[in-house]
Amino acid sequence: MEINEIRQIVSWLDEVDIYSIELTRAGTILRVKMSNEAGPFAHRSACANHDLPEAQAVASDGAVTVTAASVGVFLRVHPYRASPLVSEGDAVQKGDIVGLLRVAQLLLPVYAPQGGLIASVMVADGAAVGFGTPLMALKRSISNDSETGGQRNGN
Amino acid sequence: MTQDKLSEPLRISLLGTTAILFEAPGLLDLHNQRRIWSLAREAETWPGIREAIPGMTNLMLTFDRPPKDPMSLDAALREAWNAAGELALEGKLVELPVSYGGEFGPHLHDVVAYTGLSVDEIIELHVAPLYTVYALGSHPGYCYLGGMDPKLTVPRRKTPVLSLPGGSVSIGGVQTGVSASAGPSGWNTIGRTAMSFFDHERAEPAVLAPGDMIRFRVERVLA
Amino acid sequence: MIEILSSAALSTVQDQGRDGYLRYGVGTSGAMDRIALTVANLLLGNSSDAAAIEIPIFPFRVRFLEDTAFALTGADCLATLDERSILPWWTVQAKKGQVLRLGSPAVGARCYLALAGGVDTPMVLGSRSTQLRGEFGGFQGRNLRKGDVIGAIGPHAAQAKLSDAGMPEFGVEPPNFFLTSPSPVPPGDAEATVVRVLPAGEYDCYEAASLEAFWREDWKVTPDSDRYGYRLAGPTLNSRSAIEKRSHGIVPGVIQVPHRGQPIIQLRDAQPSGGYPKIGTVIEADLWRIGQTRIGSRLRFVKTSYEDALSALAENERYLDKVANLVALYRSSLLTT
Repeated sequence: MEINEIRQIVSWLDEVDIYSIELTRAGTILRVKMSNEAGPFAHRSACANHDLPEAQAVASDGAVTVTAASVGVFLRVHPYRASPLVSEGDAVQKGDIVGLLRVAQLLLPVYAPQGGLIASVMVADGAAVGFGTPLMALKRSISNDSETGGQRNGN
Repeated sequence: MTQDKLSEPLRISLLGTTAILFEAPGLLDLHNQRRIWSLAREAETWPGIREAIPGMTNLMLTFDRPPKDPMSLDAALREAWNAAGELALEGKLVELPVSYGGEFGPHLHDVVAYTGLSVDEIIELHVAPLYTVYALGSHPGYCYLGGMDPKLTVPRRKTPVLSLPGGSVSIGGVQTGVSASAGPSGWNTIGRTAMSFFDHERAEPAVLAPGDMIRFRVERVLA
Repeated sequence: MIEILSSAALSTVQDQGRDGYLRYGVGTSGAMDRIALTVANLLLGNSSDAAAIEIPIFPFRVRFLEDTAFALTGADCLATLDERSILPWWTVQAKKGQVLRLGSPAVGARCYLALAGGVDTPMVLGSRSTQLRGEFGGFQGRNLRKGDVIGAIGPHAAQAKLSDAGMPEFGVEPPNFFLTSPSPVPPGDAEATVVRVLPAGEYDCYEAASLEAFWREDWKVTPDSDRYGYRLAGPTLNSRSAIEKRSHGIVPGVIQVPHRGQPIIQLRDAQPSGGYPKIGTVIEADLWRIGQTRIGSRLRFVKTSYEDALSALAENERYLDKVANLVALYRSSLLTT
């Protein structure tokens, strides 16, 4: 971890209302605590629009968990809108915005890492989340399975 | 029916947090206007002032950043006014040929009705003076003129007209002026002239400036 | 570069306004919602004087003739880029050939479409704002029309680097959630836009009943309302005696009362001077709220003090500073990974 990165994290902390942050990277643990009450803006890896590393935990049946790529507040609904971006049972395509991560006034998109159905939403609208918090479970739609000619593992 | 009070008291008022308006005491005359020009030259150098815009014996100062204490600006204006001498700007003389009445002067008959003067008398009174450009405003290149005969005073219209063509020669209250482009107007239009008053490609885009003089000439009169 | 596909009535190119030419009769013009314009530029990393397109009439469609990053702020116009829904107060990269469609907003009146680097029209007298009366500035000094092709200045080095890194798509929370909304006393129409007003020069010339009505009424925004001014309908405001003012400078926000007694709020394209009596001035900090008020809806005035008006301006600036800092940090974080 380079000094510039640390400077950057500190300046984010200063900007946002978060108090402390702990980052682990390649065997190094960085802990920063602000002397005033403030909030963290965890280092977020840049991703090109639709090359999305947010799919973690690929289960044996091809379901994926969408996790938070940053500390922030998870939003299911855009502040200007009435209905959630997605609901359980909705079909989504890879790259669809399924939620938002609010970091102070910033709204960062949470993408569907692959096409499928929203199986469940684990976090309530407005809940604080940390880096890696599971947000949603996405499962392959039945039509996808048949298109892939039964390449599911297990079962 | 009312006429303008001839002499006004000194007034200073805020226009929100964006500007302050200084209205000079006394008559609407060239002596006072010259002092306004002088006050403008002084006030535009003050910190926090974006622009000093003369009006008809008044001055608006727009703010770069609104002052925390507008009362001290109020005091500064009063002091500067007391110290202001007459700035005798004298510019060029321009003659404008005017077509009076008919389609060019849709409100000429309202002026007749209000003043009790005939069309000929109105035109004669309008072309007689040498008008001084007191200030620019209203729209790009528009000149507010001083020197109109008070017999031609007609109040602004109850409801502004949504569009009048450029070159319209009008009377509003005790003032007369010529529009530089098509647009709405609350004044009484008595004629039209053809002239270019504004060129946006020039660094000093207005053709006329405070201190210049205008004479109207009768080109023709439509019934 | 974009091509206007719809009739685009009343859409114009605007920046923050043209300052310094009031003494030539040139009003400032500029965006009706300057906060929305500022944020649109911040989202793209544009310089603060970049111009954008102000859109007051919907639906509105443009086709991107080149890959271009854009931002959309102001009213939520349920935008789509080809088939994809675009969130409000958002920036995203458009590909050549894609069509952006703005629908009618349910709330709010104007959208701002900003392009990477800013709209490329000539600077005239120091600004790219459209001077409609003088027929100069903006896009050929006029409202936009179907078929117009408008260029973008294009990304500067840092913006281009970000595009190459994979242009981020993100947004910000609109100002309504940060800024204190003025509250009228007594409360009136809950749907009315509430704005703070400072009494102006001729305030004391009005009858007590008229002043009471001025502060109490939910004024209706009539169809004759536009960038020049918002003409309001409601009780007749009577001065104690007739007022004839000498022509004097005015600024956006000044509320004039012509002889008929119905107030007009002078706005961005208003004449820079006038002679009608002024009952009050909508504070500069709240002009954006008027920019987002639709024809046919209502406006309510709340009396404020000069100090509170300054506080409101400071609050607007705090919101914009926060957004600027956050966006800059976020954009630079993407470059360093």
